[in-house]
Amino acid sequence: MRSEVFETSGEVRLQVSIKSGRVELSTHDRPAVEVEVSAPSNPSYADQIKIEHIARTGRDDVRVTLPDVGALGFLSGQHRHEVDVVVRLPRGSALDLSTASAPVEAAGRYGSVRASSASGDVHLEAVGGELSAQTASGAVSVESVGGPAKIRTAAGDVSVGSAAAALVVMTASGQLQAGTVHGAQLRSASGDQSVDNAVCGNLELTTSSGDVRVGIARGSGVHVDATTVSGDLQSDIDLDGEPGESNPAEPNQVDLKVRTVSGDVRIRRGAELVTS
Amino acid sequence: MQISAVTAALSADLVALGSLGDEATAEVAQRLSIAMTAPISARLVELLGQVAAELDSTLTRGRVEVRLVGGDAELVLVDDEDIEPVGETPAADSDADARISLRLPSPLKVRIEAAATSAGISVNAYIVRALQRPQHHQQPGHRRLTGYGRS
Repeated sequence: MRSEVFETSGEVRLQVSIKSGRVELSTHDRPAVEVEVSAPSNPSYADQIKIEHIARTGRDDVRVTLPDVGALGFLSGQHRHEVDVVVRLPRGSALDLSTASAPVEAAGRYGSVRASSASGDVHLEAVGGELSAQTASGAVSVESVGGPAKIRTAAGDVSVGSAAAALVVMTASGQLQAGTVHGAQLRSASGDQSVDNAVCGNLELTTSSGDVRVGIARGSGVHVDATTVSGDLQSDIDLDGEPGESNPAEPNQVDLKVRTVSGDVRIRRGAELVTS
Repeated sequence: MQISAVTAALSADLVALGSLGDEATAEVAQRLSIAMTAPISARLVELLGQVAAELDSTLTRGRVEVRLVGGDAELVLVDDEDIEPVGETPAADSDADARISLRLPSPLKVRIEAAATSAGISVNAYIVRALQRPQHHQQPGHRRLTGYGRS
């Protein structure tokens, strides 16, 4: 196993770029980045990984990368690039992660995060800043995100616990699940979509054959415009009300627009009012 | 859309790429090119579904469908029959004998007046017609649920 410790003085940005194996990250309260790289199948594989620390005023870049192996390297035996990368880094660090089949597990709280993977699943505990995640078949799950979030997958499922700012998710066949949202745009071709607790903002849900379930947070008003070609439409919330004038005491209103072709749509009451 | 042409081209690219390597790599690429044909066309159809859904959301009427013809797919714009409300013909002002004094927010009043003017009918006729319209349109073929509520 290769192991390095870098003392940091500024904001930390960690870049990890590997093909297969796994990436495991966690945060701590010390100004240091601890990197461990190992290759269980053959210890010598760990030697091909480049570990760098670039310290500038106010900023520390740490890079853990596998030099480009190209398409032929990929065809001639992917297991040669299988490495485990374990990093402990300061809370609030920014992440830039890229893998092919390696799953990413990031515990703790980070700043802005960029993650991309082909088949590896990506799990992030808390993202304080912006999030941008992209996978082909890998699932993406984020427990909480504070900044604007953009997630795209082809077949991977997407799950977001809570999003404090605008959330945009696009997938072809993945299932989309969101907890508490403050404005979101979800698009899927065949995947189902479910939002537990929409508090406010524009909520645009579009799917061809997926079913849509939306919960509106208690205390929030909702303006509904839902259409389907052959699906069923159902609302547990009485929609005969008159939209009131904007009332500063009750600022939470959801503008809900749902478009499905064959998917069913169900609107129901969400959890308790969540203060934003 | 020529999906089969795209998959054939991708297979050829893969074989060409594989032939740059050794004999074993070339053979792997050859096999992959055959094995990947079906998954690639399935993904392309998925992508078309996504394209259709995205286009759909920008349309004010009609919808976009993906149709599979043989091994190939096409995007078709289907113009639905008019999604006009199924409400009764509005009662003429002269048939109305009951009266309600209505209080409403002034911005809404302005909107109603503008809508009535553009529909070429009186404000009274416009409101009567709007009230006769069912709140939840449930038409076979294309359904719509609209309204305002509080959770």
